[in-house]
Amino acid sequence: MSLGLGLDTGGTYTDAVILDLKHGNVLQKGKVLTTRPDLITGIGKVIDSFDRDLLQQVSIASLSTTLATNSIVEGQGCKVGLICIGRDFDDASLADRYLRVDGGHDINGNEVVSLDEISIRNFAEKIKDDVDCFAITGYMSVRNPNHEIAAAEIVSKTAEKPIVCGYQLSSILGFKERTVTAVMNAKLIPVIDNLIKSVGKVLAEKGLDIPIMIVKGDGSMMSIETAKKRPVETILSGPAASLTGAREMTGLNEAVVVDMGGTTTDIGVLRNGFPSINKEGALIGCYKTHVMAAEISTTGLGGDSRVFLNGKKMKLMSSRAVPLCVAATVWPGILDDLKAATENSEKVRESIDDNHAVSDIEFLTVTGSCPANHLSGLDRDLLKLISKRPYTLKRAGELLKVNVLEFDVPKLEKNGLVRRVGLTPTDVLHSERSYKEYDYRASDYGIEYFANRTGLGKKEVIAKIKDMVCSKISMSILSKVIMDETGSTDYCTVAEDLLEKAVSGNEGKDFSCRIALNKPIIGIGAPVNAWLPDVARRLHTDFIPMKNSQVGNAIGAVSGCILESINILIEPQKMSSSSQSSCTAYSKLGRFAFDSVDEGISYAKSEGGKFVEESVMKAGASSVNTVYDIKERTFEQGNSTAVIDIVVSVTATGKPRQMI
Amino acid sequence: MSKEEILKDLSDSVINYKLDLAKSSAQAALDADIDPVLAINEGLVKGMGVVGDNYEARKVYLPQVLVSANCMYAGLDILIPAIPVESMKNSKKCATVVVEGDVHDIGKNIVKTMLTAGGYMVTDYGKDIPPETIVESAEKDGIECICLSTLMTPTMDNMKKTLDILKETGYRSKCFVTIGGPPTSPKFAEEIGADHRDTNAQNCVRWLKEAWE
Repeated sequence: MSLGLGLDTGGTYTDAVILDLKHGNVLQKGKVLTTRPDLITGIGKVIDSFDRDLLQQVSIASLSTTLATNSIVEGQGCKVGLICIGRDFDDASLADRYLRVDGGHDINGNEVVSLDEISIRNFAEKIKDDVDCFAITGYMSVRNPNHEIAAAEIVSKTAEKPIVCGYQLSSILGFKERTVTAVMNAKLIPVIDNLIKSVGKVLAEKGLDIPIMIVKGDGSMMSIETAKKRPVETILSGPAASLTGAREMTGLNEAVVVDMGGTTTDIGVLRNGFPSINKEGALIGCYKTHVMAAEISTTGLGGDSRVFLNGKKMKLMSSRAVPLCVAATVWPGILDDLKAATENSEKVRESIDDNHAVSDIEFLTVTGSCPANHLSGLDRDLLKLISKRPYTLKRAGELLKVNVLEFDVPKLEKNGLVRRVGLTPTDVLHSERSYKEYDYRASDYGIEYFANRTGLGKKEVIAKIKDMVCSKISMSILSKVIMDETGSTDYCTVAEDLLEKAVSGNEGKDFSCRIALNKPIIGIGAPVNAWLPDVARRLHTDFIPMKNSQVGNAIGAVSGCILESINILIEPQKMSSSSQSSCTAYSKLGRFAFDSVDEGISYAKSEGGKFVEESVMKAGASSVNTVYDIKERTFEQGNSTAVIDIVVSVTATGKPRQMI
Repeated sequence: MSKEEILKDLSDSVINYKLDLAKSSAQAALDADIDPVLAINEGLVKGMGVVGDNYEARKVYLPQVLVSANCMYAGLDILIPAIPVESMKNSKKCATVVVEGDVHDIGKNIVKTMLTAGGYMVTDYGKDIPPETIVESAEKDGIECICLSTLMTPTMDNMKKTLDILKETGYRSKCFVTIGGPPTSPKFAEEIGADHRDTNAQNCVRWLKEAWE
């Protein structure tokens, strides 16, 4: 029996599993809070909880992590010296030192200006002690990488530091995104290197001398040698691993995977057993990059979403609230306040701005963040008051003897100083007793309050909120698949109407609308059984709950395969219908000319194939499966079809030999 | 002469191919302190609009459109310099150009005329212009819509190259690109990543107006 250790360090939790790789059975699972800044403490702790004998039988470990994403968002990482060849980089402040030099090629890969080697040498010499890593990107380097290669050689002779070249990380046009990708990659090199070393150390302490794999943002695995060179590719590896885990646990290769958390719902699609990839490149922080990662769409909806009553109108907000049932477990005192609120029949005015509306069952509590200096005295008093226990805004006003409108709650909320406590979808589940982890009495009061104010029955309130939640999830799923299909969510009035009818099931005057997903929905997360069967019914497909979904990422981490791919662009000299026209092939392997398009394609298949197969074998695969995908862009010219260009994608996959 | 009469003269000069009238009425507009923007829009451009409609309805032929355009430009040459810089600020900037390898510029000139008539600030980059030069100029001038034209098949490559360079420089996200010319097709526009393709200059202006809304 070959066993794998799957690890996932997420933003909140660190998960781990021991998986029977042949049968996909989870033998051990664990979940601890992620420890920051030192992730390794949490990893060590979760491994410690595992059966020692089983652990000794593990033959491979694989790790997915949000470390790269967090490091970039938080502005961490090493110092980078950036050299841009032939074009200025607008966001030079991303790097610590920056040089723009002459050089670069044209769109056909011909040298336009010769490379200013002297400036590069001088720059490297000057800054080599100030930076930890170099990033080099050239204008049009995807059409000819020679200047990047030459510059890297000069730098390597001057400084003994890691060097990242843009052409190694990206094969598509876009100098800016390529440069951002290269700089981020450079910044992450020591970050990921440290993590890999620590994980190795922890495993060694447990007596495990096994290979470690790192999960990429497309859900596949890479060796630690590759991860040290291309750490930026670990971006979004957590969500990608959750998709791979869903495939492993359900055996489905085609599915829409919905991961419902407390705050957000992530939606991804499995096609052909792989997570669908964002071909334009992933967004990291506010930067567009060329990292090919799983395309996950995130909606602000979860168990902790705020359900809000303004006048008689119920609204499902994207913002978050601590569920009443959870709050009542921590502060039982609020139960009395809630009870009183249900007995109070005083009219509440509807407010124009939801953010300023006051509710008798919404409390404020502190988050624990330190207040900044720019707060008014009144807001400080409010923070002090609610630090003891949560109060409704009205009660806080009474206690502090001020009008509630004088508090600036939206600002306090925006600065992360206060958190709302209120009715949430989690309360709805408690009130109907389908979920019983916390104090359901608080949820009952919340629902009763809504019923009193809206004039509806309690069951109707529950049904209405459930309908809002399911509609929103259904709409988010449709938006995601429509975006994947058309590249746009720019809906016209008609499209909006049809989608609304499809999601709600409401009849029009003369027609109704059904949109059916052609793949099932896999649900991940604790509350999915409560929501997703209804969502699947609305979208005319099946719902499949995932076993062990609370450790889905860790399962996915150790279920992937090693994958390497290369795209080779073949451009005919002249667009024509003849396959005999001469052509040029562009890729990270370099620029090569051929007498015919057919020759170019066979070069791309053989050399591309050799490149990816060697990479996959080197990363430790036992055997390789290679797939060729040839995409032609054409247009009609007279009676024939002319070829604009051809992209040959070669992808090799293989399971690490320890997993067989 | 009244303001209305001057504006009518401006418009008629374009509709009736009167070059001298275009020049003299443009000068008359300035002498009478008529706002040059108003003179352009309510005079010359209105006339050109009529000619454009007539051309679309096949009531006039291409040479007649070109002569009308000539009259309009003669008037514009006098009126544009008189426009205060402030009021030009809000006009969107377009560029018209025939790609490298091709010198057939009648289509491009019609588009230029109709765009001018549509109230846009049009810079004409001319004919037989290399892709790199088009992109460099557009970036430098802050062009918001690039109109590429070619009559011939072998030069279609250069439309694609222009779009590829726009992608590499990142300027593609800041401008529209529309293409035209007999060998092009909507499918070709889509494949090379252009926003639009038209056979008719008036329609192209209509499309652009909608796209900018």
